Amino acid sequence: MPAISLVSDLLRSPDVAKVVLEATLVTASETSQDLQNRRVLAVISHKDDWDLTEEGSLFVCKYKNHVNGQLDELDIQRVFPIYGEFSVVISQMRRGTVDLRPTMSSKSVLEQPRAVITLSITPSEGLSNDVQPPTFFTYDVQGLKSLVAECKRMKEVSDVEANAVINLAQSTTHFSWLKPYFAKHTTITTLASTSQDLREINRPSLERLSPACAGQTGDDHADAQAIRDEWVRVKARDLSRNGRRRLTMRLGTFNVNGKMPSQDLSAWVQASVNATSRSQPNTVTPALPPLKKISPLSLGNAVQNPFNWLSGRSKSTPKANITQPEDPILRVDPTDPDDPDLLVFGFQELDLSTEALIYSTGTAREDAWCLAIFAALGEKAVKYEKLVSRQLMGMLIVIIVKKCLKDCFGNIRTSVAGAGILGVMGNKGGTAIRLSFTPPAHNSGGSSKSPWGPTSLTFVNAHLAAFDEMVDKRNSDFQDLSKRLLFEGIPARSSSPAPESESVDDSMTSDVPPTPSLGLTPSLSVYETDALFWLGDLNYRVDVSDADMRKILRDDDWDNAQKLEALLRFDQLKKAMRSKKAFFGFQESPITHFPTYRFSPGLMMDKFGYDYKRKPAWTDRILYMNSPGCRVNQLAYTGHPQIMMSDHRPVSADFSVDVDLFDPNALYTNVRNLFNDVERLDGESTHEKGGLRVVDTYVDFEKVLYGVPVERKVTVKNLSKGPCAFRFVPVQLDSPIHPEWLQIHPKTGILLPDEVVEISMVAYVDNAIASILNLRPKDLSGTLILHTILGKDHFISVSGEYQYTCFANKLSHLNRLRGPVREMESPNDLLPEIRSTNAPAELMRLLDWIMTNKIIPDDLFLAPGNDTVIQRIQECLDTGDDFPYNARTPASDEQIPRSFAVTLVRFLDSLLDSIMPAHLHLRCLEMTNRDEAFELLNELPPSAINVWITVTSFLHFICKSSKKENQAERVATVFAPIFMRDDPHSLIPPISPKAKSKFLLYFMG
Amino acid sequence: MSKQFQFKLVLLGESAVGKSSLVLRFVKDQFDDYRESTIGAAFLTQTVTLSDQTTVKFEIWDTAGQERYKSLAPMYYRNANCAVVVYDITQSASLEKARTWIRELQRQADPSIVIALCGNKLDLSARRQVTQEEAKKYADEEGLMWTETSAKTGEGVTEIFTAIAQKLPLTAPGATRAGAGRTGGPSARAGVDLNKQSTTPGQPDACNC
Ligand SMILES: Nc1nc2c(ncn2[C@@H]2O[C@H](COP(=O)(O)OP(=O)(O)OP(=O)(O)O)[C@@H](O)[C@H]2O)c(=O)[nH]1
Ligand SMILES: [Mg+2]
Repeated sequence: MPAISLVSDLLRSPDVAKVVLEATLVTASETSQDLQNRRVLAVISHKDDWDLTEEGSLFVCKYKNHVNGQLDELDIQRVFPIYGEFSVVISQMRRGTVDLRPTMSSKSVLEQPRAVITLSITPSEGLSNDVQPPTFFTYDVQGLKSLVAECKRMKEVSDVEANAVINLAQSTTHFSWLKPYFAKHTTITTLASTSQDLREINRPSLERLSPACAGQTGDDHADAQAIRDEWVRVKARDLSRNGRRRLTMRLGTFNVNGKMPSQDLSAWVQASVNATSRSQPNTVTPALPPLKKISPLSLGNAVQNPFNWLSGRSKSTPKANITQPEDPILRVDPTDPDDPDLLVFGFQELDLSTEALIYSTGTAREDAWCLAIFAALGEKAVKYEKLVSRQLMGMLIVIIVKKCLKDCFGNIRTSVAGAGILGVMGNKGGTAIRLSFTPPAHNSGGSSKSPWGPTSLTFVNAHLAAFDEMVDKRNSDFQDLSKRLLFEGIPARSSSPAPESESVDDSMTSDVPPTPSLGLTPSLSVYETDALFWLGDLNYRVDVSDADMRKILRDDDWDNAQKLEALLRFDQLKKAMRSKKAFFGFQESPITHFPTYRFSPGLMMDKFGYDYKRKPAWTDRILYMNSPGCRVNQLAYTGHPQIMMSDHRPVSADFSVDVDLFDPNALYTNVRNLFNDVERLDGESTHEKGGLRVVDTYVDFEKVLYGVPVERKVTVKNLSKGPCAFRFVPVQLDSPIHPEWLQIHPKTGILLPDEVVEISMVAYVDNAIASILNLRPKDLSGTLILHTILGKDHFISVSGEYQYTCFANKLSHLNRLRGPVREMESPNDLLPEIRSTNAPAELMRLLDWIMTNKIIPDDLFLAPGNDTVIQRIQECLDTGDDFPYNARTPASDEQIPRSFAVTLVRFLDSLLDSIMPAHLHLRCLEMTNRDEAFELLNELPPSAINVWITVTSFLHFICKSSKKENQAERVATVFAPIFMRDDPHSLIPPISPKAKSKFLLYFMG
Repeated sequence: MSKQFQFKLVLLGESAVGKSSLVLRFVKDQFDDYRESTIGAAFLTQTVTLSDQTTVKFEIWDTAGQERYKSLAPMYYRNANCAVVVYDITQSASLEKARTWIRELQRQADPSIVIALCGNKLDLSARRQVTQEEAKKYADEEGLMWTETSAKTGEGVTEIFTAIAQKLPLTAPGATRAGAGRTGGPSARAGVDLNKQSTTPGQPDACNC
């Protein structure tokens, strides 16, 4: 096909190609004139609707890569608006300076011309000093003449004022018609870059789309783009990945309170990255209460994401599935896997002197601390060197790397922002460093250039507002720093371009895709990175009274893990994350160390050394956020109480970061090819194209049982000739897209022509859902709406019959059942109140079986049962069928009585009623003997009293017949948290697990 | 310059009466002997030009007639400016169904909605079960537009949409297309300021095109 018609294919009406010229890009390196460098230059004319004005532009087009070598499609590489300083400079090429091997085609060999002419293009906005204009050579002298003449004419018709520079991306008047031509290229470049905002990328895909519901489509064009971009980015990344490499690092934060180093820091500085246990030199031994192992909570966890559970697919949070056994990930430095590759330390209050607030006070303190760090590294110090640091007032961040990896780090940029008085001066704020890590080449002999693309890492060291009541200020400090910590743009074509922000389509700087903004790459926020680590003295406190805090910390009635868990529920940072007021989307590993603030070296301290004047708190924290492609795993999170030179204790965290090995050129090509596949997604409406066909429009889950996931697949085909995107929409704007008992995956997607996708639908009823469904009619039918972007809504009817269960039910219901719960017609199908029983029949059946059973294992209630047996017992409770296990003829299998015991625990734990309400717990503490304890029971509703008495006397009997000592105490630890459930919304801390057990033992002992 | 208006139109009626076929005829001038029942809702647009050069763009929602999906219909007729309720002249039960739809629209839809009753499959008049008199009488009583069509032959199809376009209050200030920039799906409220229009709903004005 002639080049002119290929160019015309690219044009939008009313634009026309005036002149077309075939030419070859002159590259700096000595490459042959292969297809890669063949270009089509075209002068395009655009006239307005009334034919009054005309504007011209020179397009540089490149042939699309085709496997079969056919050249029948072009891509626009660059657009030059013709005005201002635009010019085309022609010169005759001197023989000998250019390689004249004509390899284009045999035809051109024959027509080898005598003259080779080069043309160089100067863009309208002029050239910066160090940039060469893109240069081409051609044999078509006649064509070149017409091109130059037409460019000249276009420049004459242009009415852009002299010296004006048009920003193509923003202009709404001059040359705004060019926007669609370069928009695609900009999109591709963006998609191939790794600087996506983590906050955006980690949002569930549906949340990123416009609000829509039945009969009210959202902004389908915007949604098409959002779905397309995600599809391209994820797919291209997957296609371009050649495995992963593991980078390890130790992060630390330390508020040094103006002190100089005076103690060995090795505990804080040195890490063993192979350490699998979190509880390092810590006083805390995390111990799980025995309940967790057998309670329904752990069942819930196991099937929390039924998709993982059913298909073994790993698609939940990147954190959860960090270790993939099938591909062992090599370390970036395989020669020395034991020591971290990167050390990052954040200091606060490095210098408390007033001068330090006003002007920089030199690097004396920084030097002292760095010296201390290297000293703490001991003999390993020789392996490391300082890469970069940045200080703002008392805040200092230092990055130290292994010498052998130093060359892998580049594009280092730093930023600081004050958050104190006036936002500029003061002692609070943050310092940040962004750098890119390029994995070394395989079998690197040292000097060979790495073929891999970079992964960007960002570290923020912050010091937020102090004092208990300043939590809002801390939250706003965080928001403020999130906005103001910016890494300034670097020159787009500086000698060391940012590899991840530059296109790698052509290695030629002279032929990069058009950058709509001039000169600089845009500045980046701390979130535009692959992984972000935020550490510092964040100053968040704990919202419990000073007395409660100290009492629980010192109370031997709790084990350490329980103490921390109970107190951390009131941690202001955790609360801010839950309420999305600050650090939303960040992750923090569970804290297993004691509060790190405030220690007083003098006399005024409690048993642990905490200052009497300040409530202890976890002020010093390390959090992170990562993109789905860059997997981060935290290996340790530790406080270091033995380093006592400050009023804070330092905190450290060890991480492994799995970076992709990807070839940036391949990534760019994949992005471009995939983008071409789905480019027309938001083109004409899919009605014209046939659209999607939902093969299964009716999905029946039949009987939906408690705790038993059922999966159905819905097949969707694309019948049209173009790509189709879909998303689920709710019936009403504010309703969910599917009923709570159902989970769908995927909820959005793209299908290429003829592609078939299976949408997985899983019905799963856990305690939370059963507690809702038990009170509703059992018919579960409903309709899901799959909306084709720019096309039809498809209805998918789902149906099922919920099977009522005695689990997650109310005592007041269970006591008024006419028969087995499964036979209920509706939730209101109950006996009249006066005929209600004393205790649920299901409970009595369980107790009865265990009592009748001849063998009572010593670990009854303390050991897990068998899941199949438990499920069968549950089913018999619901249906009223006899248990298939005879209690009188004892089987040799102790699993069966154990399973009955577990079922009993789960049943009680799932009850919607709390047997001993949380507001009575403090009174329980006051009871000093059995009689008083019984007295307190009178405060409970009769149904709860009956359950309490029945179960405790049963447990009394069981424990008495055990040969083991302290059996009652042990069993009490299982039942205490169930009978005396904490109120998660309570504003006061719960009573200790031991105190609960003690109260329960008045009845069991 | 010519005026432009945009209205949301919804098709309702029993399954298999020919709603999708009518839309296909109107939008693409095609007919399919074997159309699949609609399981969902389809959104299409078509423009008609009136004699005075006014153009009216219809945003058409073709709904599912099957009983199972009845509860979703209100989502599609909310904010509709006009509704075409279709019955099959060879099935008297389908007129009964049409009556229920009309009652529902009169109760639940926007009070100013323009409703047209449409007897389809006119080409099968040999098997007619619903007489013109019966349908027209009902339409007059309820103040509906009424006509008979054949999606198969095309008879009456463009005419009914044109008649609706003429009937819609084009003079209302809010009726012009709001933001011309967005070309996506239908806007929540297609355009007409329904409070300000002069014609009162329920006014008998049957068209016999
Ligand atoms: N002879 C004849 N057949 C028609 C006419 N209109 C529709 N049909 C046929 O009637 C059947 C049903 O038509 P549809 O347009 O699918 O009916 P529908 O109202 O959209 O049905 P649902 O989508 O189920 O609500 C198809 O086989 C059509 O070919 C008509 O005017 N004349
Ligand atoms: Mg239909």
